[in-house]
Amino acid sequence: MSATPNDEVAILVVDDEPKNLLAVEAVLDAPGCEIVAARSGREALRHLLNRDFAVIVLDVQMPDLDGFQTAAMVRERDRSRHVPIIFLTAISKAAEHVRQGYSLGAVDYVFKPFDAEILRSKVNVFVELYRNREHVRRQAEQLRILEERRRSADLLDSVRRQNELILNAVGEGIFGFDADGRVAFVNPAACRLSGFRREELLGQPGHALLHHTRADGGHCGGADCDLYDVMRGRAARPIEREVLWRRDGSSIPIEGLGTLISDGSDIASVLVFRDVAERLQIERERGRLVRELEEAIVARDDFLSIASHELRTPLTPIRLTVQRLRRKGVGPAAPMPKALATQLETMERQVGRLDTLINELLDVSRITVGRMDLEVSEFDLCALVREVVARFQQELDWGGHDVTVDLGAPTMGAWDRLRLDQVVSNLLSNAMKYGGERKKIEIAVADTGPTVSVSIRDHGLGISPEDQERIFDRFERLISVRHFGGFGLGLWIVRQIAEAHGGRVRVDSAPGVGSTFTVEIPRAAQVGADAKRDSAAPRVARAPTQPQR
Amino acid sequence: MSAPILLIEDDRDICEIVVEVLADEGFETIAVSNGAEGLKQLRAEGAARPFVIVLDLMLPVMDAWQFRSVQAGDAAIADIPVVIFSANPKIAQHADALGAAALLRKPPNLDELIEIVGRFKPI
Repeated sequence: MSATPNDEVAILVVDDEPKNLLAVEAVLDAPGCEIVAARSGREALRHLLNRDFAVIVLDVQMPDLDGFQTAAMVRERDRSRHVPIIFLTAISKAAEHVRQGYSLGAVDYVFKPFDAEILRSKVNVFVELYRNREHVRRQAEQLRILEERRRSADLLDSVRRQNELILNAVGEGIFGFDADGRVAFVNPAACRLSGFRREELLGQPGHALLHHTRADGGHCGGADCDLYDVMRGRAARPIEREVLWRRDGSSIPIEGLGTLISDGSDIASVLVFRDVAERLQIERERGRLVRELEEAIVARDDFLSIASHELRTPLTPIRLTVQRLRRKGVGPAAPMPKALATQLETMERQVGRLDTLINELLDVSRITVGRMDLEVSEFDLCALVREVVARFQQELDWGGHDVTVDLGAPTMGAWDRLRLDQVVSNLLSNAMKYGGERKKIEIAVADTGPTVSVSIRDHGLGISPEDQERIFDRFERLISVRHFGGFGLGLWIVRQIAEAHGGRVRVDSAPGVGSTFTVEIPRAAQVGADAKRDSAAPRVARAPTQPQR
Repeated sequence: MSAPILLIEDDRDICEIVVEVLADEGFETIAVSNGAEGLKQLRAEGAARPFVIVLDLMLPVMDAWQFRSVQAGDAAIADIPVVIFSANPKIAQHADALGAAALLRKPPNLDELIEIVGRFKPI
């Protein structure tokens, strides 16, 4: 769209007579004007394709394509539609030509032989017009450009302000470094964390100012230093367990990320970091609490271990003495008064109860630290059930309980005998406690091949569905009216033992109908890797805890 | 005279009743209160060799671990079986580690005591 270069104004002169051309050129030649000569209408049209002209001086009488035909074609083209045309025509044809010329959009006429001054002044009008129009157009263009610049400057400003707000608002400290490792950018958080003012940081060598000394107190020259690599724009690095030195000579532990900037801006790398002192302090505090807790657990377990030892030791002579007296008393040689025999029996039972309670206390610490070591051996589960029932026989008789034992063929498997004894004892003991008025208890062992189960059923008050969910929890017991004593650990221990064997315990119960507790375990205890197996251990005889009757 | 039982136990009341209970079964029991005395008894001139040693774990002067290590190093008494007799909650592990022939948890039942000791009675 631009006009002739260097503000030159072009004038197209079209005439088939070279001497006429020369004459017109000579008249119009002036500084800042380029005269383009064309020998025919066609040549003129070719020039008009390529550039803009201030005015066309067009001879009417030309062979081939005359001036009017040429003008008609000039007017047809968008680019040249408005270019003023001055016709050169012979004075004799003036009247005819002028009419025809105006209809083709001619703006003026010069009659041949032309007067140099008239031609020059007529052409100059258009040249000046063109110049003025170009000038206005250029000014408009310049204004537009200026306006655009102003707009983009505004936009840039607002983006910059936005970025600044963001960088000011973030809690992380942000440093930008130039290619020489000098601080080129700093946000308020970085000032706050480092203790320096912005002016004290900008232009300063970052590493020498902020990381002259390593966390361990040694001088840092930059070798093997992630912060140095980042600040000098050598490499992007995650920053972990580093320190940043503050203005007051103290240091803060930091974590962050160093990235390189390669967009050619004056910032070569950026370090985003945060002060992790508080977090490290919290971690240390948490570690301390965990250690204290672990120590407290160890202390508790030690205490329980010592307490159980100290409580069982005096039970030893008491139990042996009572049992010896009872044994002597039943002999025909020295029959014992019935009252005394009953009292000895009570004493023996209470010693057994103390022994069980002490075991339960120990189980709390054994099980809560997640180690129930099973001592696995091969035995018949039915024989074990018979043994436990026999041991409870006196109590069952005394309480008026009617026990039905449904055992099939010997059910061999590999389990912890003492622990399963505990399971059957606890469940039988519960059935006696909670069996209610209908004192019927049924015990059955079922062998389904890969698993075996023991179930103990009572016909007591039963357990409501909501209670069923919690009875296997530690220290839980049923409603207070059934205050039967104990630690409330029985069913919890049953569950722990069942699970330690790779099995489970469940209860089927309905209020008023009774409860059935079923322990189902795999035929061979699926013990954890840390549980030891008897077969691999040195010979240790398994003593049954209670005599067989 | 038949071979006796050696009981190494520092609790006097326990010693007394165990000796009585075993006497009822026809066993002679020599009771001493620590490992060192046990060794002295085992090595005494003319003393009868016990067929089993019932050994408490925690003892004054010389405890079960020291006693077992000396016993193992003395060919004359190394093969006498030992029954660990303790209220220690980890009695099974300790009995394993000490290479005991059996263990007896405190408080034992009378029948258990007699049965376990009886296992080692020479025919």
